Amino acid sequence: MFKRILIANRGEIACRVMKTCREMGIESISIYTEGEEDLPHATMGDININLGSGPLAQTYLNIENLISIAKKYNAEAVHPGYGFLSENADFAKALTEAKIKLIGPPAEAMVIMGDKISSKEKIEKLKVPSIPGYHGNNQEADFLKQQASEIGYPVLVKASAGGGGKGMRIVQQASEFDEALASAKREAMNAFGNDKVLIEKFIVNPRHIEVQVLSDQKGNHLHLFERECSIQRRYQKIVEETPSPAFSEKTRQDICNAAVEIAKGVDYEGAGTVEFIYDEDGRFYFLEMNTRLQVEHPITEMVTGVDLVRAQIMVAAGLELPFAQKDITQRGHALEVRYYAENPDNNFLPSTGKISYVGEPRLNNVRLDTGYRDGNQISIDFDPMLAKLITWGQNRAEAIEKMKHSFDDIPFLGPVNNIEYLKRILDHKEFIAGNTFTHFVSTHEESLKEKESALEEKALALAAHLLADNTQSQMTSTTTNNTLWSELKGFKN
Amino acid sequence: MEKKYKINQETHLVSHLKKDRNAVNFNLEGKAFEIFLTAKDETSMTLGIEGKNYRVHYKDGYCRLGGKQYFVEKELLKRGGAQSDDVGSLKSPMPGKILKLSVSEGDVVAKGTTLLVMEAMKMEHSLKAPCDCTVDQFLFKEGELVEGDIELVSITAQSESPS
Repeated sequence: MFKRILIANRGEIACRVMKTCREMGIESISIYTEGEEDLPHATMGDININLGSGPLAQTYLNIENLISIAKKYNAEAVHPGYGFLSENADFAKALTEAKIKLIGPPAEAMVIMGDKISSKEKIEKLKVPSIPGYHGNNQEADFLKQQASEIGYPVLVKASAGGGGKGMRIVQQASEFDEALASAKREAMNAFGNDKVLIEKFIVNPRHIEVQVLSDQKGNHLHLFERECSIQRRYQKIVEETPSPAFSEKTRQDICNAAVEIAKGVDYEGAGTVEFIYDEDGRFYFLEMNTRLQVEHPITEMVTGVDLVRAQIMVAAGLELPFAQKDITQRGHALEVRYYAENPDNNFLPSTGKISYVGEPRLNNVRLDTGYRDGNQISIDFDPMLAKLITWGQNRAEAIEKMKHSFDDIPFLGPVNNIEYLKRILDHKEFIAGNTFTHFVSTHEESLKEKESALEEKALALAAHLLADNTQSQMTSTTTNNTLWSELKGFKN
Repeated sequence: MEKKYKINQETHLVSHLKKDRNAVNFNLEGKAFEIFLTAKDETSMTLGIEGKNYRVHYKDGYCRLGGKQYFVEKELLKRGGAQSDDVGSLKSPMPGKILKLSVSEGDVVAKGTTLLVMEAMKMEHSLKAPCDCTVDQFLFKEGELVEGDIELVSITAQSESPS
């Protein structure tokens, strides 16, 4: 087993990985930048290295420097966390050359899965369905219309160069196709200077489903069931849960087996996530594979009892996974919400400021993963995620209820944040009913708007202010008295 | 006597305020409240209202209740009673960087004139004059980083019909 690991990341994920290192008796090297000295990750390692200041390319993304740190301090392996260099094949190759083990997949698997086209080709060979569509060069209107019929309506006409919904049309039936194509092409030409379009099956009520896989170097490929992460804003997940409220046992088996086939097919190693789109008719389509630990991995840990970071480290050290597929079961229900420093009532704009009070879980089976402590400053230099709050219950309703109570236990007082918005989602009748689709946030925009506070809540807030004030002023006067007394005493003596 | 408190930036009238060490009575928006302090530590207190207890985290003026964050402050009376209609300020919509100050201090500008441009979230945002006004002062220089909701420039509105 490794004696020392470099954590090539920051914040909550660096802290998360270091916890497991400590449990395994492995020393960790933590890195931080100028101005981050007060953050928990900056002092949590057995060795803590200041990377200095400057843009990310010179600090957390500086491959050369990270490798020289690993060498200088005799790190045998590097844990990349998520984001940053976690899916960077150059980093993986540079580590291999330096004879330092990357806790992650081999560079080859990263390359295949990192590219949308090569990953789709690989998936087709493995007979796992991806979203039907035409992505070719033939742009004749009649040909494209014929493709649309073969794919089956409704279809999506989308600018190849596109983004942000420009040059995109949903076509419900063949009679609407010609007009939609023409207008999509016009819009694409205006927006991108290129009117090439692609045609894809339009998924009506899509859910984002992903499957956690785990592979060792001995050819064992396992899954740790699914996660549903349909509730997103700005294409980023904010609520995740497992099991998915939409699945039958049969679907679960099918989708999990497909994920294992993919892991086998690319000779995967370590922890990975296969993402799918799941439609309302129960069909699933491959989306992409993330060759790293996911932000939302804790919910899988809660229902399976497996420490995914420990498994990653064991596998990287060449050990065989200590459990077989039949040993892994889904117990109860886990829910994760992501706290962000942002204002949901103003386009989710990021906010900054000082965190006066973080808080801590007070109920059973509640987990808080955060990279902040009281007094820390939120800066605009990094991702505005404040924390992940995870709850476990015997069933979905219990996990939700526990989460709602935990919001007040972990209030992150200070900067504007999305906690109340998360509560509005959890209180929403469609969420409670399990009708969670990827367009949830926009579909329910109106009913998710801020509600006027109850007068009693305002009264309690005011009372808290007055009573805190009260004791403070009393404390001040007591201090003054004490000083007076000691002075008098001194005078007497 | 009536006092004014700002609860989440909204002014509320509070009357019949009476407080001692462990209890507070007041009238908020016409309704009478009696709230008891039953326990307290550095960051939290337990408040009793109509026989029910609530544990409330409180620090630096902030607290969270029913998931919602509240910030309470006493509204201070402004000296001289400046007419707020005449003086305006323009705040940063979000944290970012000041790219360009488009006019000079002392300039008289028409409504809609761009006063400054800032960059945030990799997008440019222009702050425009909300009315015909005189630009009094820029509070930041070009290139400076600013937080969200911070006053960037102060202006004085031009009176509509000069006497």
